Amino acid sequence: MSSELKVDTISEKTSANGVTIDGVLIRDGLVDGKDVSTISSGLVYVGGIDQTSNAATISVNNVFTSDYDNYQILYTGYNPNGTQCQIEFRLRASGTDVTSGYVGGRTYASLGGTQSSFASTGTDSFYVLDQTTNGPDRSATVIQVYRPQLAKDTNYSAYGFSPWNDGTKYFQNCFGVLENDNQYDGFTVFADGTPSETISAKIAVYGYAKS
Amino acid sequence: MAIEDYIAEATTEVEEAKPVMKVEVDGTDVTESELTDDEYTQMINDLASHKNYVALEKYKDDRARTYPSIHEFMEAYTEKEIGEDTTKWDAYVAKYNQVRTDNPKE
Repeated sequence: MSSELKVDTISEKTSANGVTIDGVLIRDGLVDGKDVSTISSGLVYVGGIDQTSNAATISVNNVFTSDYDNYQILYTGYNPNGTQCQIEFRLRASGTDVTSGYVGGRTYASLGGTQSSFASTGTDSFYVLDQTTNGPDRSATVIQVYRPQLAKDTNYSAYGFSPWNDGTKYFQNCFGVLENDNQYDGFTVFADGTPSETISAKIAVYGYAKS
Repeated sequence: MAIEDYIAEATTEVEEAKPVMKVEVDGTDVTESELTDDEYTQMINDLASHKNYVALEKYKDDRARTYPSIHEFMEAYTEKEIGEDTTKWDAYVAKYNQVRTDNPKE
C-alpha cells in the first residue's frame, strides 16, 4: 500500500542541513551540490523547418546564437526536382549568404562497391548531400557546425546516405572550413543546378549544451 | 566554351525561370518570396559554375566513381604477368573501357 504526501513546502529542520530524500540532498538551491536551475544537457532544439514543397533555396535564420557553441543539423530530404541534385550549404549572417572562402572535401563510396573516392569541393559553398528523384525520401545527413558565432574560421562536417540517379546508393563524409573571421547566425541549402533543380526537406537544428 | 558563355546560358535559364522563390524560416515564421536582384546574380554565377563543372570536370568524378576496383586491377594484372592468365585482365580492360564509354570527356 502506498501513501502520498501533499504539502506545499518542505523546510529543513536543522539550520543549514537541507532536506534529504532517498539519499539526495536538497539544500540552498542545490541538488547534491549542483545548481540544476540552468542545466540544459545534451542537444536542445533551436529551430528548423519542414519544407514539403520544392524551393530554389531554403534558409534557416537566427538559429546560431551565443547560447551554444556547436550545432547539429538533421537534414532529411523529400522529393527534389532533379535527377542529380548535389546539395550545397552556405553560412549566412543577418539574412545574407556568404559565397566565398569555403574549403572542403568529401569521401564517398557506394554500397556493394570496393573503393572510395575523394574529391575537393568548391570555394563558394560546402557540400553536404545528394538528392535525386530516383530515390525520394531516402536522403539524409547530419551536419555539424562548429562555433559559428565565434569570430574565427567556422568548421563543418557532414555524414549521410543517399541514392544516386543510376540506382546506386552512396554514403559519404564531407568536411571543411569557412576561412574568415565572421560570425554567422544561420544557413542556406540549395541544389547545385538551381533554378531548374529545386529541393524540399525537413531541417532540424540543435545546439550542443555547453556543459 | 568559356565561363562567359556559361554565364550567358545561365542568365537565360534564370530569366526564363523567374520568378524563382526562396523559403526562409525565422523561429516559427516561414516566408516565401522572390529572390532579390543580388540573389539572382548569385544564382546565375552558381549555375554558370555548375555548367562549367559538368562540362570540364564531372566526367572525371563519374569515372572515378565507377571504375573497377584497384583490387580487381591488382589481381588481374598479377595473374597476367605472373601466371600468364589474361582472363581477369581482359575482363578488367572491358570494364575499364565501358566506364570511359559511358562517361565520355565532352
